[in-house]
Amino acid sequence: MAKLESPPRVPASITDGSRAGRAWRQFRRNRLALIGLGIITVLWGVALLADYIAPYDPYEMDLLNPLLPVGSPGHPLGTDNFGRDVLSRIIWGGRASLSVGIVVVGISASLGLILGVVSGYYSGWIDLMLMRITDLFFAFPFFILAIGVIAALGPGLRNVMLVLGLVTWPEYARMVRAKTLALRGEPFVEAARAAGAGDLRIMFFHILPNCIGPVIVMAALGMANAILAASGLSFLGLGVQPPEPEWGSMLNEARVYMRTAPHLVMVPGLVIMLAVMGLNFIGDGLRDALDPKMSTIRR
Amino acid sequence: MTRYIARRLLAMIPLLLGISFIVFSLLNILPGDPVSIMLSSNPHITPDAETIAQLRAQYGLDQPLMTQYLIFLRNLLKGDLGTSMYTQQPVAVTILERMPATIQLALAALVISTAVAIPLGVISAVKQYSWIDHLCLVGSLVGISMPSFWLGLLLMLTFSLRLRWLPLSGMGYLHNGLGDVLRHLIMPACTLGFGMAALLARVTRSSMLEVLGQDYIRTARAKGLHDKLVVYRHALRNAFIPILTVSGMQFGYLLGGSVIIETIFSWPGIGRLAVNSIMNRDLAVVQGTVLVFTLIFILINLLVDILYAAIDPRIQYD
Repeated sequence: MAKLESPPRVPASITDGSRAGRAWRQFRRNRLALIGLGIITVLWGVALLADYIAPYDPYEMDLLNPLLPVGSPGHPLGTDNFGRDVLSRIIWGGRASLSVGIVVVGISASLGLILGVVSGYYSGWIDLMLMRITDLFFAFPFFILAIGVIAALGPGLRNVMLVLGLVTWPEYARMVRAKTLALRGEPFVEAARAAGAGDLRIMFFHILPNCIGPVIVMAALGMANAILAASGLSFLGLGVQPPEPEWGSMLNEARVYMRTAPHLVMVPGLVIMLAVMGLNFIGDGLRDALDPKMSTIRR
Repeated sequence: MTRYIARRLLAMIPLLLGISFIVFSLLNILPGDPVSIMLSSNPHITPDAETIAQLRAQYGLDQPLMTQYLIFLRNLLKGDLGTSMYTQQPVAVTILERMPATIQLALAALVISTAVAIPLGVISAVKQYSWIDHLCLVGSLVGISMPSFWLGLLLMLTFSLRLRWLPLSGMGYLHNGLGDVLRHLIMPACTLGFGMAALLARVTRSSMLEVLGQDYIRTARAKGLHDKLVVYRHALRNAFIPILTVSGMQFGYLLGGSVIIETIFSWPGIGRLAVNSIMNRDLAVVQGTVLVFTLIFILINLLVDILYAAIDPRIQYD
């Protein structure tokens, strides 16, 4: 981001850098988006530096000091039923959310981009077939399908990420296809073809870069939804397995102690909400900056 | 209209085939052998090759894949969703038993969220940038980002454990009086409906803002119609299509959410059945629940499409 803060002094709309610069200036004006960026930077920055920042080993039990409340000396967020430090577990748990966000969106966006551009570029039976497949995916309530596939593949963080990626790509595919259909007849595509560019080159170097704005917006909102869904699956016991620290499974473990140690329910839930809200704010800010025409209906 | 509905139902056939194939592949194609998965859940059985082969034959798993799928389809058409490997009960019967609980919960959530969200959205639009508009905006931002399972736990903590107003979990029954039903229903239904209400309020607001700027609204006001009449009769009715679309799409999330909410509140519906069956490694039941949830979802969406015509006579279906 540091590079974007000083946009190059060339007239706007000449180079790509200035387009990004303009988008950043627009984004910066959105207060909620900046708050979101702040939240996410802190949560994920802390998670990345967990080795140095976390005060305790997240697995280290202290059976003499279980269920300490928030504000206890040495344990600012208290301890859980095994006496493990809640703050450290929250910090380490951020890694799961970080990898869910990146891997899920990585899978679904790349699948969606490739299938979407192929579908829109070639039309014909390829298009027909791919679009029927996306229809099929949209016919399922997404969380239910995810649960069904997890049931077959077995629980665990890796399967959760795989499944969420595999059930969410059709959104990207539809959007990229619509964009491709609109761009296919544009003069710059004609020009590229006249200059001898092949289909692959046109699709991936000329059309896809023009779809990137909406894809970035969808990716931010997609990360928010992926984190929400993954923590939901972990909460049900289908995702990250204890004792590994993850916010959703921490909530699940806390249910039993809700009466005596309500902080065990408060803290992880609040952090999930902050992460999801932060990404939603960033997504909304990006939409205003990159793609003002996109609708506000989402999820 | 009847012809349109008939055509839509016909168009659903390939979709249903696709859905049935995906659901079929959950058990039969994806890696993981259902029989060994089932046996692994029971520590008392040491599976030998003979037992496994016998069970595979019993469930038809030794047939070629295409034959298995055709048998699966034929059974589906007869309403046979297979047999639970855990309880040995027919899956369809188990799901039908659980159905009323889920329908009760989902309908209550739908009613609560529309009853709260649509008036709030309308007020936000009519009094744009007022304190109530800002409050609704904050509320919906929180609502969209809040994990439903966390909200459920917070409500339980407050209203059951601290204030002791409401039962912690379970479902009420009519023979104990309507009060019993409502007291059990209110917390899970609010939890399930909250996220949907947040989104619905936003959509209502933006849709109303668009309509309120139209000429015919100015005309209606100019001819001296009462403000309430203009807003609720002229504007809201025209703002309704996007609201309805979002409600229909959100219903899928409501169904997905019910899996989590039913688990938290020990609600005896299909969602909890699905989670318990995953824990019991009872894939046939999981398969059945996915299928039933999806059927409900596409039926709701069909209903939404048909409702368009009822709301907006300009929409022609021929």
